[in-house]
Amino acid sequence: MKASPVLLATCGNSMAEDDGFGPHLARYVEQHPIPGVETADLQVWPDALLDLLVGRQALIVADAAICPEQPIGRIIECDWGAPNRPQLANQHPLSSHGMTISEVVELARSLGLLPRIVRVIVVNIGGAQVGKGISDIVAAQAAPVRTRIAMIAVQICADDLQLDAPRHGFRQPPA
Amino acid sequence: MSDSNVRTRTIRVGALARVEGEGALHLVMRDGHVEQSRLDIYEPPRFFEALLRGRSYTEVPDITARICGICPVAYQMGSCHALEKAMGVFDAIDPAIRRLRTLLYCGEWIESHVLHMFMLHLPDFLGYESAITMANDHRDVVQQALRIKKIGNAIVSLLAGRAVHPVGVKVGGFYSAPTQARAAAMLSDLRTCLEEMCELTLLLAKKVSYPDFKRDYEFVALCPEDEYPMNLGRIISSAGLNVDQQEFGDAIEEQQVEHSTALHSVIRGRGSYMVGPLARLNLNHEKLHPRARELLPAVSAAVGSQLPWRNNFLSLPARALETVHALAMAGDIIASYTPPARVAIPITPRAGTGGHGTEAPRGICWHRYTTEADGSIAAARIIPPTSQNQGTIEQDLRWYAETLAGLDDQTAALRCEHLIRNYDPCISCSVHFLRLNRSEAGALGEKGKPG
Repeated sequence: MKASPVLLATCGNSMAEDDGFGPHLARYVEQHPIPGVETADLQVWPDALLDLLVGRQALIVADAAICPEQPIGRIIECDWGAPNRPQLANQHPLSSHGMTISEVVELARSLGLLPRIVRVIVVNIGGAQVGKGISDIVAAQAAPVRTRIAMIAVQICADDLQLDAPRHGFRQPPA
Repeated sequence: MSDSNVRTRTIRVGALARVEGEGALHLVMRDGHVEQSRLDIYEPPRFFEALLRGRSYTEVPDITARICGICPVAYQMGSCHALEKAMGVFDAIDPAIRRLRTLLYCGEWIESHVLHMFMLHLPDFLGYESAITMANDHRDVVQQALRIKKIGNAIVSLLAGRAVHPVGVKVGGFYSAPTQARAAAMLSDLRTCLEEMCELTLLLAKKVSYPDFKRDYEFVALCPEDEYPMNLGRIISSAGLNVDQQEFGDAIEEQQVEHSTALHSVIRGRGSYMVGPLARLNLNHEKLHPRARELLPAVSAAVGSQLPWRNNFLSLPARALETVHALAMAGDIIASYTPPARVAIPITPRAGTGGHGTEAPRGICWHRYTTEADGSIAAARIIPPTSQNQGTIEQDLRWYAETLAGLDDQTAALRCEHLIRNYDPCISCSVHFLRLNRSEAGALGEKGKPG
């Protein structure tokens, strides 16, 4: 089966307060699917990503971020390689033998597995205390984040259609 | 020489906290000689033995599996076998269940060994900061390794529900067994991975340069009569220890040391010893699967050493050979697999005591439980491999650091970390994230200021 052009990879620990935004988003998108987008809820084991990248046009990493200067609940979107990419919440692997999502993405790059587009969408969070659930304000961002992902997907699918079509997008009439 | 001319050098490597292990390296050298070597393990005690008291024996495999995210099967197998002895059913376990346990352990060895060899250890030998940078130059090797690790995870998932903290194991057997079709579906990938691992094993032997460092270790491993050790066998050492599984806890002594929250194990009346792949291979190489055994001459020739290997850096090819063994064993078991007539034997709780160790990827993981008449746990004792190796690691560091006196602190610290990783300790990742402290002079044992 052909892979969906866009892979949404959600990360985070659903047992650690707002760090659970990624898994929360995955559940939301499961209930509100986006055409052309397949969701991989990586949670705290991001190395599974390496098996899911073949045939993708784009990877979107959705996670929680810690940006003290930003209000809690703020959605930030950028390219993975952007110099001002916000600091992700789970910078330390849960397992001492594990990798963070950042390390996995870099390994995928080294292995030539990354698609041409890698975007990151994060929600700025208030805390990641183990044992607490996700806050209402962060949970409420699932819907607008889904909308942004849908817009990215539409753009990518449109670009793909253009790439597949003859140059300029239209067949030239016969002379 | 006057005191003023004595040069004291402290090399300390502190580590960031990690869930599976927190450790640091501390070396004090005076005039090029090591006066103190410590592997500090400062992770807070987790009190699993106390946690188990009063719980039903049925809960023990799932609780102890949480001790380690990399080798949960070892904890499940150790607890199951020990509790089956306590319940008086150890000898009644069906051969078909034992074969599935071997298959499950093969899965864990494959994924754990491959992860350690190619993602954590090989970058040391090849001079890379990490597997990520290594992958830029050795993409094919890393991709092969990831494929092989994946098949290990798939085996654990097949038998135990999921690769991380598996849940399909119970005292007496399994909760369910896979269908023949599900198992057979893995066979093609398994055979491909076996061929790839044979190639990688020869590659590691021929292309990697191993530091020349030999010591006269006492190797300790399970030694079954007719198979390479995983779940069964007496516990035997290269220096004469030969005990039944039940007696192992009495043959060794666990000692508290000030700088470690992990107990140090020593053989009574003798001292530190080594468990793990090098010990297993040295004591059991003739029982390797033929596919692994046929590689041994070429590997030994390439590394320039005949068995027994006393160079701990050769733990890398030892792990590679064991991975070949595990892949070949798994293939054999799956090729002849039919679902067992029963997946577990019935157990009637009783009061009793049972001790048993199995071979975790990093060495013997030994458990002993005392149960009440209702099957609840009255006492538990667990001796993991890393605590058994800790004393030997410190001795290694003392010897090895003497050869590094001419190096700058950073290089010396990296070499020592490399040596620690030979053991694949559960703290191995914490020595991936290090801060180097150094003091040029001062009182012996003074810790350096943070650099």
